[in-house]
Order: sequence, then structure tokens, then C-alpha cells
Amino acid sequence: MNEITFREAFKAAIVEALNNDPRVFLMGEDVGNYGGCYAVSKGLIDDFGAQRIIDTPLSESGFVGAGIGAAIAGMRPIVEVMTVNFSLLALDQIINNAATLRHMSGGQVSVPLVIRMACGAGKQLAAQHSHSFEGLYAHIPGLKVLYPGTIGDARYMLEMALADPDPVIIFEHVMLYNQQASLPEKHTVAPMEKAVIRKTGTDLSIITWGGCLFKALDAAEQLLNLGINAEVVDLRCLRPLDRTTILDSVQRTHKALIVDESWKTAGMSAEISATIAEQGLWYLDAPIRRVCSTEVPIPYATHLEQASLPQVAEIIAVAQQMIAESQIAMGDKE
Amino acid sequence: MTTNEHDLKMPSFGSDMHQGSLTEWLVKEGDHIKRGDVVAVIETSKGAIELDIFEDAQVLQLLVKEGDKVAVGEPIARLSSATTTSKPATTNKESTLATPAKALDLTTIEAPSSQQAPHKNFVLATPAARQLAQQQQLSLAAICVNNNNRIVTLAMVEQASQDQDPNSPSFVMTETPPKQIMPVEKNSDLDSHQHKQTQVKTGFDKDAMRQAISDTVTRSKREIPHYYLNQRLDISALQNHLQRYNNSVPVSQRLLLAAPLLCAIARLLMTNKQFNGEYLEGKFQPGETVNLANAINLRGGGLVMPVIHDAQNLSVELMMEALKQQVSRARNGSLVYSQLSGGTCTVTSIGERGAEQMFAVIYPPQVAIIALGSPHQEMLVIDDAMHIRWVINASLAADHRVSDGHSGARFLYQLNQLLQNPESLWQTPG
Repeated sequence: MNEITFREAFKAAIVEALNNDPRVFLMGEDVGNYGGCYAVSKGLIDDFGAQRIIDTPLSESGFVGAGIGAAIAGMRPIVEVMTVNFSLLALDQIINNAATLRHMSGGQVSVPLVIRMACGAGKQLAAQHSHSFEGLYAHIPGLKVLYPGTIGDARYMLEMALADPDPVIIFEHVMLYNQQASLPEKHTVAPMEKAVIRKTGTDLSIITWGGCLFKALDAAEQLLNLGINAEVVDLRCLRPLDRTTILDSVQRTHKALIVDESWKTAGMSAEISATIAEQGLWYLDAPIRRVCSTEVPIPYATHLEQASLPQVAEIIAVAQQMIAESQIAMGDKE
Repeated sequence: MTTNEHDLKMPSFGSDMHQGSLTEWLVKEGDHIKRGDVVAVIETSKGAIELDIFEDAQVLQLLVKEGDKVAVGEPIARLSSATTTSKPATTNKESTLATPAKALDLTTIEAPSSQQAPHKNFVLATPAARQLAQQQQLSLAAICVNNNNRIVTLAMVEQASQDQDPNSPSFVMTETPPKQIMPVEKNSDLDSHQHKQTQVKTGFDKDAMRQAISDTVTRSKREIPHYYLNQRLDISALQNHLQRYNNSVPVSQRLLLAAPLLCAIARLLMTNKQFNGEYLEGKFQPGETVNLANAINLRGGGLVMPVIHDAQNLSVELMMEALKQQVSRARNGSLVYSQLSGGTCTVTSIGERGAEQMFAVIYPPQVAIIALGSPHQEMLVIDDAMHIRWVINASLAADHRVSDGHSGARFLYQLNQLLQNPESLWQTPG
């Protein structure tokens, strides 16, 4: 099977949407002539023209608001926000308008808008271009929040998002764009609101998503050589959250390790922890553990940036500790 | 006739004992047992001790498995007995023997390690472990003790459950695909661990015993205001009588000097109640009977204090039998629970090649200890004439909270007087 990059997968999804539905158009900063900040839309303006690949002024509030208006008016806009940090300028449009209008209009107005955002750290883009705010958006009723971490999701989630009548935010981790994998058959890709177990295991559940999924899978592979059989749960969709899959997994493994590139405090990992504590407590055989980013704005210097992020070695170390703590006393018996 | 279900609890073999290892069950579920039957072997810092039972009963369920460490007071078996018998003696023994409150608190666990927080009545366990233990009716406290007081996890409960029922299917990964089987080194760790756990330890743990002795004498010297009295016992008449007796019986029935001496002490203690009993919770409780503890020195170091129950009623012959049995059991580490419990006063003898005089430390919660120096000859003035006599220097160390020197002196004086009339010791008491 041919391997493609995540960038190619995201692009193929946009091309497919543009081809299949005349209501679809792409709008954002530098998406047209420049080809997109991360080159996802490179060349699309030549194929689809400036009417459907629209370069916008540097005003997130303005062009996200325009996208909301277009969606209300019957279009199926894909709005690209260059990085999640910049989306904070459009928070009023996203939270006060996109997320609320269906409810405030008594169901008369729907906002079938898709917003793509690059996010995550690892490219030395420092504290204003590297953050992970998916937890912040997952907090908001009225939004759906997707975070593909596999090539199949990168390729096929856009179609599902466009088919949804409500605003959907898709996060694209910047470290994934260049990663290659073979593209699975479309029918094997789960519905967008369903969490997927990427690796089955018996000893503990590593719960993660997006840019940390490959780290978790790498850690699980290495843990296997250390005699620990970890399960890896890919959440894929942070709102609505597939709590059932999380709880099913923890009920089988009795241990939960959450890996989140955001910070611990009041973050997505805290929500997952609370879910497990509320609904899965009796199945736990160890305290819930979290591997998250250090609570600092993401640093610029590469060694500091790497030190601040969840890493494979840390996931392995914490998993080993959890297993060791729950094992039968050895050696220290008299 | 109604039946009475109750727990057989880990007994305390002394105030210094906090837990014991159940080395071996000698009964199985469903067995009918009689008073005096030995049901289990318990390993303590005093060595392996056989636990005998004080009642007729049926064993309903064994609650701990062989190799388990169990805190004092924790149930180890479920018994059913006829209610016509009086309250099980074990309960009485515990309440008087054990350290007040502490040993009776069933859920209290000694938590010296940092792993278990000092929650007095709460065994720390993961929710999953707690649930499984509850389902399988396993004691979290026992599992906790068995795992060095660590927080109890699912694996520990599963281990306990498997050990309890060897026929139960293994919990280990029946659903696991082949490539996810645990690597060999981990398995071998488990094996060696299990091996370790099932190994039956025999003899005495010298370090543990030293620690137990240290704890006991430290407590004694800290809590008990001792006073000491010394009395030279003239044992010439006793020696003569003993020699005549021994010449008249087969070698196997010969007596040692200790037998009539212990008989004399035991019988006198019945009328000198201030030296026979227990001081507990600020109050002296005189013993109803004389349970004479006999300090036995072990080859290779250490002490045990087996108890001769109802010693005041024993003839010299029976006393000799009791002593023989005790010494051999003590030295091969197979004392029975009832032989270590309930002591009301202690006698310690230095032996024939020892020092002439010894002052002993009271074994709490007892209130007196009588120390006998080595028998030796001395020149005594009797009736204005010099005589060479066999003597023993006896000392009494007693608890000044309970008795005063005057009564102590009277006791020792009476003892010396009694020994001048040895024939009376050979008469069956009562």
C-alpha cells in the first residue's frame, strides 16, 4: 500500500470535499497564493480558483465571522486558522456565535462550519504558535472538537465534519504533517465521535489523542519489551467525549495513564480523570496518572521545548512505576 | 442444641507480639476438632508455636492461607461450636494477655513503612482490590500484612485468592495474544517469589527474638517500679529427699531439683496473691490459678517463657513431666500456644554452673519474677554451730505498685520454710 503524509491526507480530504460539493470553499490567511502556512492547500488555488480558495486579511475575528455567516446562508465553508493561538482572536465568533446560534434560535439556525487549526509544539515556534487549546474548545457546548492522530482520520474526518450540521473544529498537529503512513480503506475508519483503541493491552490504558498518539504507541511498543502490555486509547473526538470507550478500557486494565500535550491544570486530562473517578473508580487498581506539558508557555529553545513536552521516555517511566506499585511485593519480603 | 459461629483469631503469645505467620494448617475445612487439638503452626519471633484450641468445634472456613502474616486479633478461621461450652478461652486469654486495646483492635495494622498511611481503622487498598477482596471474602488486613503493609492492589488480592484455592483457574491473561505473554524474566521473578512465600521456616529468628526481648525488658524497666529481695534458701533437706527418691525410681522417672522447687513456689503463690497475676490498665488482677512461666534459655541465644498451667495443683512427678516436655519443645521450637500464654508469674533459674545470684526483670504484664541462683555449698551457722549446707540464693523482683517489701520478704521466708519440709512437696496437693 502506498504511504502518504498527513499533509497529503489533509489536502486530499479538502480536494475531495471541493470536488463533491459546490457549497464547500476554503478560506484563511495565506491559503491561496502562498499555499497555506503548512503547505496543505498548496496549488489548490490553481485548480479551484480564488472564488473557492480565498485569501483573507489578517483578521481572525473577521474571516471566522464571515465563515459563520456563509454557513448560516447555506454554504459549507472550511475556515483555516493558521495556529490555534491565533484562534483566540476569533473566540467571540466561535464561542458566542457559532456555538450558540442553534440553541439561541430555537433550532432555526444551524452553523455547518468547519474550522481547521494547526496546533502543537515541536517546531521551535515558541509560546505564541505552539500551544494546545483543544481542551479549551472541548469545554464549549455547541462545538464538536476533532483531533486526528492517524493518517486515516486525517484523510476521512473532514468529510464527516462537513456532513455535521454544527460547527466542528479540526486540530492538525504540526509535527504530524510530515509523518508518513499507509492509508487505510475508508470503511475501516470509525465514526468521528467514537474513540478507538489503537493497540489492545491488558496492563494499563494509555489514553491520548492527536499529536501524542504516536508517542503513546511508541511507548507501548517499548513497554511490551519490558513485559508491560499497554492499551492505547485514541480519543479522536474531544467533544462529545466517548466516555464509554475510556471506561471500558479502564475496567479491563484497571489503570489509566493520560497523555496530553496541554497543561494539567483545568485541562482535558483533568476532565478524563474526573470521568474515570466518577464512573470507573471501583475498577481502578492504581491512582490515575497524567503525563502532560510542563506548566509554562512553550519555550523557544529546542532543549527547553522538548523538556516541556510529554515524551516517550516519560510515558514509559510512569507506566512502569504504575505497574511496579501494583505488583505483588517482591524481594523486599523477609 | 444451638450452634455458635465465631472467629478463631490470631492469638497473642505475649505483649510483644504484633503479628504471626501461619506456617501450617493442621486441620481443614469441615474438620471436627476437640479442645486441646493443635490446629495450626504459627511462626513468631519466639519460634514456631502450635496453636491448640480451647473448645470443641467444627472448622467452617480457613480465612488465611499458609505463609500469610496475620496481625494479632485478626480472624484466621471460622468455627462453629456448641453454645453449651463457656465462652471460648482464646477470647479470655487475649483480653488479659494482649496489650490493652491495641491487640484487640481487629483492623489495626502495624504500619512501619511509609507505604501505608497511619489510618488506624482503614487498610489502604485500591478500589479494585477492595472490591475483589470483598467478593472473595478475603481479609484486606491479612493481605496487607502479607505484603509488607503496602497498599493492597488487585494483584495481591488475586494472589491471595489463588493461594487460597489452588484449583481456581489462573487469573493471568487467558485472553492475551501470544506475542503479549509476559517475558521470561518476569515469570521467573514470580516463581521465586512464590517459592519464597511457601517456604516453611523452622527454628527461631534470632534477630526478631532479640528485638522482642529488647522491647519487652525495655517496657518492663520503663513501666514497672521493681523492688528486689534476696533470700538464701537452704536446700540441703530437699537435696537429701530428692536423692533418696531418685534412688528409688527408674532412671526415666528421676526428678531434677527444679521440679520440687517449682512446686513449692507455685503452691506458695496461691496464698501470696500479690505476686501472681497481671497488671493491666492501671489495675492488678490476681490470678485465679498459678500459671508459672519458666524462662528457658535457648542454645544459640534467646529466651522463651513457656507456661505451666495450674502449677499449684501439680505433683512433683507431673511437674517434672511438664518441664521435660517444655524444654524439649522450646529447644526445637515447637511450643504450643497454650504453653506460651497466660503466665501469671515467672521463675528463672541460672542453672548449676551459673552465677550464685541473679536479679531478674519482670515479664509484663506479670508483677513478679523469682530468680534462682546456682545451687552451691556454703558454711551456715545453725544452732550456734557451723554447717556445710546446699543453698540457693533466691531473689524476688516484684512490682511495687502491687506489693511492698514486707510481703515479698514473707513470701521468700515461707519458701525457705517449705523447703525444710520436703516430704510435703511430694504429697499430692489439694
